[in-house]
Amino acid sequence: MPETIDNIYYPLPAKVVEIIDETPTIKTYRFRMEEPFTFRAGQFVQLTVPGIGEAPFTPSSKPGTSEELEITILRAGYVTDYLHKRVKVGDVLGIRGPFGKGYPMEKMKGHEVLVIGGGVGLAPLRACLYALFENIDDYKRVSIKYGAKTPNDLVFRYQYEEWAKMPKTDLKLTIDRPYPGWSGTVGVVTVLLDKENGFDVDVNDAYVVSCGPEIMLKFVTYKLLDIGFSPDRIYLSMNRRMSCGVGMCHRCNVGPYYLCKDGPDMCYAKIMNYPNVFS
Amino acid sequence: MESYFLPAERLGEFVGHLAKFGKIYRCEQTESGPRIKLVQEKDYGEWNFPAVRTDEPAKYLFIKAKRKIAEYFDDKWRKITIEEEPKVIIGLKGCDLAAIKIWDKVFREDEQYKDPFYIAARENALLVGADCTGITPYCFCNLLGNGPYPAEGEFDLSLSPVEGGFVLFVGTERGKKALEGFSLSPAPAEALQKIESRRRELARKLDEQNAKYKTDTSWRELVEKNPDSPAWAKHGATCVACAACTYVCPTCFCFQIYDTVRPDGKYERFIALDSCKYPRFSFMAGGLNPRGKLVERFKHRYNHKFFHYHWRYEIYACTGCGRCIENCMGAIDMRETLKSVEVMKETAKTEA
Repeated sequence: MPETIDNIYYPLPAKVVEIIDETPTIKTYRFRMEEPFTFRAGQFVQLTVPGIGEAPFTPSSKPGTSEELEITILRAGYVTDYLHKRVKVGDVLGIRGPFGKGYPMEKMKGHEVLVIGGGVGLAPLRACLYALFENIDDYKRVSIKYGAKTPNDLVFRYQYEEWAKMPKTDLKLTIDRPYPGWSGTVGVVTVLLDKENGFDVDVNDAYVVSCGPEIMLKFVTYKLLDIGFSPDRIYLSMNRRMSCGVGMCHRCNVGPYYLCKDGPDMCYAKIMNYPNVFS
Repeated sequence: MESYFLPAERLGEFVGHLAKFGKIYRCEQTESGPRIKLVQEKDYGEWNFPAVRTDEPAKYLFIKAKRKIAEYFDDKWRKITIEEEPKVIIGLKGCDLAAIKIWDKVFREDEQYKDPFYIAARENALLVGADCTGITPYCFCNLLGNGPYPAEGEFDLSLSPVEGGFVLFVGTERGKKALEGFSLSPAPAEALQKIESRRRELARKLDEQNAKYKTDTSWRELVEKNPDSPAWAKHGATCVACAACTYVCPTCFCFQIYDTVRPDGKYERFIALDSCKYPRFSFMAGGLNPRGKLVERFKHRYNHKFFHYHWRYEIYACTGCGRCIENCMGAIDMRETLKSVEVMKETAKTEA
């Protein structure tokens, strides 16, 4: 008896309604879906550029249910290159998802939350921040540490003021190398975990969520362990190449975990003993 | 288990009866070896019974090397009813039937996501198993706890050749239903005994053939606990990343999704079988590659089959068909690699 089943590979149309230039290489695309779309902070979607292909991204907009969705994208490969060059407001792209488990929002309740981002890695973390801010009373404190190459590479600059004003929240920025006109901290993001730079998060209480280039995640993790964090408090956005998003195509694994199905935000304690956690 | 005697002269009639379910595919001994063939009605009664599993795995009857999975944005493809052509696959050996069980775990029995294309193909296939009557030098199903015959629970119907015909076993309700209206007499006890003793004899041969590869430690533990064993580099040294092992493997399923534009402007989405042996399998935009080195990819296949898959589903994603050994141009033998991991572990212990 033929049965009708959801086609897990079918993308839903998503119309581009706004494109925000964040940095010379990063743009935020705002999409309008035909019907409300629901996702949790940290869950990702497969974005289809019609005829070109799919790539996985974690939305940077407020989690929950909405007809609108934002994705912040760095120009890095085949799909994103086409996206940056050719896609205009009014174009219809496709979205499949959401996939994955997302950030451990429930687990973090009652604790301090340390948010560490690098470059475009602040995009998925912004969804997490929205979720934290919405229920800020549930969390002890939110501490944001964010680094980029230059001041021009910092994303969501137009929101920093608003974030810093949130209760129980602090935001610290750094850039990799000295830059004309920059008077803030200089150095890779791990310098913001130094006491000299005002780091005062309780390492025995806090949960860490971090997203950024793999090299950054690696050194952030080592530094966190160094200053006393336990591996089970560290959540890393381990985004690897994904194709299906549903735990079938088997390419995004770290050890036995599928980043698509069991992640993409993985507790470091779960993966630390497997080879190639950081390539 | 219900069992009947099917006289050789009624084979054509029997296959004709099954043909009511769907098109007949049958594993046959041909000049170029055992192959899966689409059988025409006139040939139903002529079965050149193959002693061993076919050269190609049965997986290609359930997936295709390339398959269209969507046209977007066309609502027709959002929820789909796939009218897959019903098939009867006759003569599947134990290793190929075990592989279908392994695929079911991923594509059909996952609680969260189901692959509608696999399910359609799977549920429109009547699985008719068959006993092996010989073994190849590459066979090692015994090392995985399987035997050279269809295992209970993995077939709808199954045929065991005996003198003057076959013993037909009924494995599922669906098999029973397919048989309805075809009357047969019960299998004589003597024939069942003969099958038993042939199975034992073949199992003994397999034990003998694979004795030197037996490990004291489970394959999962060997792979999981020894990621740094020198055995990986030693045995992976002749791998040329041709991916033959993954394409002939009845259980390898890794795939890639890709999109194209048709001349009429419609967007089409396809699935193509991929292979973890290819350098770009895990290559990411920006240039990172967690498994850029060949030895890492070589190891990955063992990891997937004996560690990751077992971790998730508690079974190995390998059935011991030996096709990867038979078809490897680098003469890599999975059994040897795993044995080597164990031996080298022991050597390291003694040296320390």
